[in-house]
Amino acid sequence: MAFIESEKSVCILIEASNISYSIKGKVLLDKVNISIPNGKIVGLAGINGAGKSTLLKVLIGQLEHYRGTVKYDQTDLKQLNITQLAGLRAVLPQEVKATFPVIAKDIIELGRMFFNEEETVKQGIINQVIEEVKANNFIHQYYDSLSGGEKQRIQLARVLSQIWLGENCRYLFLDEPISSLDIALQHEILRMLNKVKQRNIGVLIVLHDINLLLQYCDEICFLKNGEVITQDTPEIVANEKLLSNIYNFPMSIHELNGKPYLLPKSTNQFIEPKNI
Amino acid sequence: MELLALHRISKDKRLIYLGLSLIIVLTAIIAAAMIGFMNINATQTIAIIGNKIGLNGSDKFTANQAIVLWNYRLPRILMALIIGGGLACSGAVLQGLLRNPLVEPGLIGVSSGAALFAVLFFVLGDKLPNAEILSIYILPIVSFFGAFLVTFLVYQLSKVNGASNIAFLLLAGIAINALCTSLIGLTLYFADDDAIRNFTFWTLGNLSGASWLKTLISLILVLLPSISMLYYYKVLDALNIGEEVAKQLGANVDQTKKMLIVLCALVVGCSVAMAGIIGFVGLLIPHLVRILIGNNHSNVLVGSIITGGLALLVADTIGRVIVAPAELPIGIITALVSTPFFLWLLLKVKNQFVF
Repeated sequence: MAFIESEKSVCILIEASNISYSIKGKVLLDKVNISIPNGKIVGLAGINGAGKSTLLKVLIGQLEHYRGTVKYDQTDLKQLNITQLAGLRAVLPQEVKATFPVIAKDIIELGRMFFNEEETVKQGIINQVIEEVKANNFIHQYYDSLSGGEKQRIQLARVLSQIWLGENCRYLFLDEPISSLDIALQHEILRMLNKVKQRNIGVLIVLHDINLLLQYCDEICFLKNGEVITQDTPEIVANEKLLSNIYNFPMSIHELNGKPYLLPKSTNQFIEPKNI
Repeated sequence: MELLALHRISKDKRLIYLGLSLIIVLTAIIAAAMIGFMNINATQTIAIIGNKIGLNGSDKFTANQAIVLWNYRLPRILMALIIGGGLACSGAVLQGLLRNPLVEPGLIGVSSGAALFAVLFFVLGDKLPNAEILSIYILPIVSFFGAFLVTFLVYQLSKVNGASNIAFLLLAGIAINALCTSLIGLTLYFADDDAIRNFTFWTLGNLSGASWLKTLISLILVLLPSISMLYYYKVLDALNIGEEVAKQLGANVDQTKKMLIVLCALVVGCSVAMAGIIGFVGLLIPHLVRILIGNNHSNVLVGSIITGGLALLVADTIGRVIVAPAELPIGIITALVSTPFFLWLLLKVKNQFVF
């Protein structure tokens, strides 16, 4: 059984190959290859303007006029209709605002609004995701009245409910989901992702904080000038030369709790470098 | 958006609210039927209606009372309910669709676009044979095109990088509104001696021309499309948290937009053809409903249809009797009541906008 499952996870993934996208003659993505394996967290990083957001939009099916192919478990993205796609992938943006005030729980319920299913099934899933993100205390409050962290937990519950169950592997895309949160909340959300990936879900997260990526991701993909520089495990990408080149900035790698930790070179003198 | 929302109907209480509001509507119909230049009491009102639908009791009222009630008051009451409901419902839908709490069919020029086309047809179509008889059927269609054209134009003009920009939407709408209103004035000025009276009809609204035929047309072209907009309540709920987010959730946003814009144009266009421009119902009522029963669109749309109908019925009944035997245009009353409300709303949200 375990053997079959592990074999499954090898072939089930999102695979994007040779993705190119340009707008008004400006090349935003140039022959990009990226894969998001089932049950893994893939980090997407690079300097501002490297093409992270554009690549994310291509992968979630928001941009149509790209060249190359995106395959969700062997199926071409362009062959999936809007409902099928909604069952396969969910997207958590940086911030979500409600034009008209609604109760937080109503926002979570939007996650399963466009699926045909019985109310009891739906409520069961909704209750599970609320439990998962520990939002029990504030789901009956108005969304606008919540703090930034609570809002983002509500949004996480919404996207999780959308892909909570399914025969196929599902995928979760997160675009800078924690950039406005304090450090405790950042880690709380990222720890939740570690649990989420065990549900047959592949995760792609766009994040600026390279140390958080090194700590939580199974693989990290670096973009520069619309091209993929590398996609590999944190241990391998944690390379001073590589990262300094990607960020156009001198960096040094240290070790913290067994994980690589990155610092700008200029602050080297204040920190005792460990064995690299 | 820090708009007020005080209550929220839970799903199991919906039927109770619906039942209650239908009782209020029935009471309002009978009350409005009683009120007017000719005295008709409640028993007589019920007897006349009962008599017309085949029950006995013709000894309780006079023939004149029956004619006034059945031929004039009742169609007028029903048209007020239908048109008020339709305008409020399209207001709620446009607010949800454009993600903007300040939108209203009158404010963004949809109504005046419809009125302009109606007036043009009115003036130019005069030369057609059988114009009088034809116009009742063709006028709604012509108005619909006017309404649709303005909605489409304003929406296109407001697009910045593919998304509708609130400031551009309001500015473009107000500009087109002003243009259409002045063109209506210009057209009528050159057309006819009765111009000024007609101008008042088109720009301030009037239900005095109500008839059973018009009621039937309103039922089909205003009430039915309004109710069918309910079909899209899920997409409207999803749009509340953003257009891209709604698409990611599986909402067919593009198709819904097209359908709802056409349906709104139909409702507003036909309302204008039947009763002229009745302003502010589409803004006031949806917000009142949103404040009272929350922002879930299945509730908002049903609530708007019922409350909008009731509000217009009350306004029309006041307009009928307050300066009797003359009549006040209904738009004066709705604007009089709604403008302070609109200003209050503006104060609530003004910090959110940077023009």
